[in-house]
Amino acid sequence: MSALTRRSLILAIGLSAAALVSLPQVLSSYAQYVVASIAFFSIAVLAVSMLAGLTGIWSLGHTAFLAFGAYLAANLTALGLPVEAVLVAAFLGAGLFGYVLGLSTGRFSVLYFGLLTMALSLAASEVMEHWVEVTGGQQGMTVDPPRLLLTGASISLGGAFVLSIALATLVFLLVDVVADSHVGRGWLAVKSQRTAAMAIGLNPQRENARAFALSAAITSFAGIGLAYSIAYIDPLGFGLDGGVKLIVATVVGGAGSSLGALLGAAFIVTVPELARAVPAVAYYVFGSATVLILLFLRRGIVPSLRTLLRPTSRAAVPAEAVDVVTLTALVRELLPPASAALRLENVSVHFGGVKALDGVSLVLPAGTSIGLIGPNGAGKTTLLNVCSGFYQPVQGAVVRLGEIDLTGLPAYARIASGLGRTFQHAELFAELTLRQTFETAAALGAGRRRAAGLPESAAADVAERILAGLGLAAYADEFPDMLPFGIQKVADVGRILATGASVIALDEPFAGLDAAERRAIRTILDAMRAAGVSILIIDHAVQEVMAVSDKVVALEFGRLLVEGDPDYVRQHPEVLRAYFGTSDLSQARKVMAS
Amino acid sequence: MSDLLPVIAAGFVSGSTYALLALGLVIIFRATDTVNFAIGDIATLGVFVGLSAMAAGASVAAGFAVAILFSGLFGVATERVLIRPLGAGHASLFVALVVTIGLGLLIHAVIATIWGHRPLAVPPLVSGSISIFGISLSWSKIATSAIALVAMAAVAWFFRYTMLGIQMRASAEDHFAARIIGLRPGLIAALAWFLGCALAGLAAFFLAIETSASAALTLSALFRAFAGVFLGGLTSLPGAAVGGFVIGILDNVVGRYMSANYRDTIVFAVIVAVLFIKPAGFMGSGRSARV
Repeated sequence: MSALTRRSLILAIGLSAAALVSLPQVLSSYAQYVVASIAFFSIAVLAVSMLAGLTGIWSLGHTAFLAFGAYLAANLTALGLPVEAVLVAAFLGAGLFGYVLGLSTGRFSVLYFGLLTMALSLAASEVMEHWVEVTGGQQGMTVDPPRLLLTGASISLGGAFVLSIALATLVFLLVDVVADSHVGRGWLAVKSQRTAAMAIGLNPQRENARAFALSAAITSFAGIGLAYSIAYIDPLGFGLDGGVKLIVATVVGGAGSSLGALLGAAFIVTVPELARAVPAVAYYVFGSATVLILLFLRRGIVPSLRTLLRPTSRAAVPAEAVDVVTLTALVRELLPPASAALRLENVSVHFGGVKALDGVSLVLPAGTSIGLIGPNGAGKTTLLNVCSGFYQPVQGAVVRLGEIDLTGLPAYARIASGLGRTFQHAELFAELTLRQTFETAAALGAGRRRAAGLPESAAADVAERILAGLGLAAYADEFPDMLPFGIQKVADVGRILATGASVIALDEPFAGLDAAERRAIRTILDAMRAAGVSILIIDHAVQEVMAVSDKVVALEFGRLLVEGDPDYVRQHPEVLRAYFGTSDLSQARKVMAS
Repeated sequence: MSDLLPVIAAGFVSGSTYALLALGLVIIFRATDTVNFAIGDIATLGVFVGLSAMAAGASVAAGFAVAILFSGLFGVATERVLIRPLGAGHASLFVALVVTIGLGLLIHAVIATIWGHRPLAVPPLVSGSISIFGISLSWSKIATSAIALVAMAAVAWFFRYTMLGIQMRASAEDHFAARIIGLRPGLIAALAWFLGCALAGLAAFFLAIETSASAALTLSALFRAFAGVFLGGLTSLPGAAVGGFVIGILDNVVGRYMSANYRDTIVFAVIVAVLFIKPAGFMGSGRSARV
């Protein structure tokens, strides 16, 4: 479904619901109330569902934001403020609080955070029960009919129903736009591959906080709709039970699905209404629906149906051969030339008693390439992780890119200075297609390209050209887990092209590739060198490393063994000994040269 | 502050139930990576079954035993039927949690259907009270705390000295490696769920003696148990026990000296503050991501 169809559909559903509620004699006033309830609950369910779907954070405490919106509406309306002011105040207030709370996801695992939101709900209940002046305590409070600034008049209860539906429509459109943007894709990237997301410049803590802020802000709208539509609020509706119901609705409809959120909201509203006579029935239905759906339709009704309806994947298509000329031109357009040397001095990394790196120094002048070789356990990947910020070296080390001191910079901030990397196991984003991955990375890299004076083009164009240039067009809309490993590795290199890095560290780019894929990687590496990009490459395919490096550095047991031009290192007896453990150098040389 | 000692003593008594619940949560989490939200409801169901046994003529002690056994066995069945089919791994972590939430709702409904909404009184194991240093303590409270402490000591002994306990600890460290060396994951998971839910059954029975048996019996205690688990760390057994006691005492001290109305809020604010300093709890181990 295209974005336009989706959004038209949301509008159409919203308009027909509004018509149903506002035309007289179509629905009984009770049925009108049920439709309005589905509308405002669908906002809250969408907020929880979007958060779970895009960031992997499950919140049990969203009733706190629901309550915030409701009590704010009641109090501000009593003061004579119009609906518009209430909306702005709720959005900003809940958003700000949500942002601060979301920042703590950096401190806690997603699991702990989910459990902490439960505490939030509990604390909110206590405040509602005891802060009598503002909330009316256990007795609750009535909500005055709201005044609309737009028309200058107070609106009736029927008008409040329409308001709830209008808010729901607005929120569904907003969430659709955000989820479909680079922001929403970035959240998915952080969710599915945190490390690689950091490497392309996403700060997980900030992204989670933004998502949580949006989710909290829109939930407060649900509270506003609820307050005006029921005209009376008390703490009972906002307890942990409410939070559990939102989770049930999310699970039933399917996390991350808008249609699922609507379905889930209809489920949690209508079941208790239909079973008013026997209170336990709602619990039976909620409980068994949750358990059964998770056991048999793991991802919820809507996403599971969508998978069933989607055509099954085609047979594997071999990647097309890459064209050297186009690719060279493409790389030159996407990657700014390096302007500063990467300098490592006295870098040591200790894991417990193991010295993975022991006082290594290395200079990578701008626009050159260094190959790092050495037997397993030599410290190559550790060195690369120090450069990209995933490991911290022991005190006294220097890691600089030109004037910029990298040691204090977190991993996600290093790409800002142009330092990018690829991964030994590709580490693509499981929930993004290749096209979406390149688009997201290209959007993050746009600023760097602009600063370097490279031609500006839209993220979608950049993605399209990378797909074509790397011969990945046939896989553009596939998710990485459907792709062979070699294709994934090529796509990882494609991702670094999109980020606009100018100093690139590659972790075993050739490992696990067949001859055609190796050729593709070789072509890209040559193109990068031609574009003036600095390269730090690790690989066990020594021949490949030698072929693309200006200088080769051999490591052994965390120490620098030999450095020099490729031919010198290739012949060096120490290197031969490290690799072959033999003193019979003539034989080792023969192997090395073959 | 003259009543500080009784307040702390009361906190210790309620803390012993929180500690039992917390211990149950951690044992199950370590073995099967599942945060069992239904642990309180399973235990409550156990208490009601025990009560029915008593109503049918069983002695208080027998009803007590029935409650604990039923809770444990229900836990085993839950793991086998609902949790194991979800499979292992990081992705199913939250799925399993939500499944237990659903199970909790179901048990809630079952209790309401069979036993109705009227709270049922539970007879104490022993009656009478004693005065120590001017503090009046009921024998029932002393007995429950003592039994809780004995149960915790037994759990500690089990994990430290028995072959099965050591196997369970090994499996908790690394499920995959444990399989490779031939430990039976099904058995270990079942045992963990039995132990965890049985400990919760013990706690729920004590709670029911203090108040009375109702569907929401363990709700607030479970919150405090979670707080204790946060404090001690989700992966540490001693941490969970100590955390439970600390929460019990903190809760009572806050309720007595700061604000009876906002005690949950204050207790959780303290927890959050602690977690910002030590994100994995005082005794838990953080799991770092692979690069």
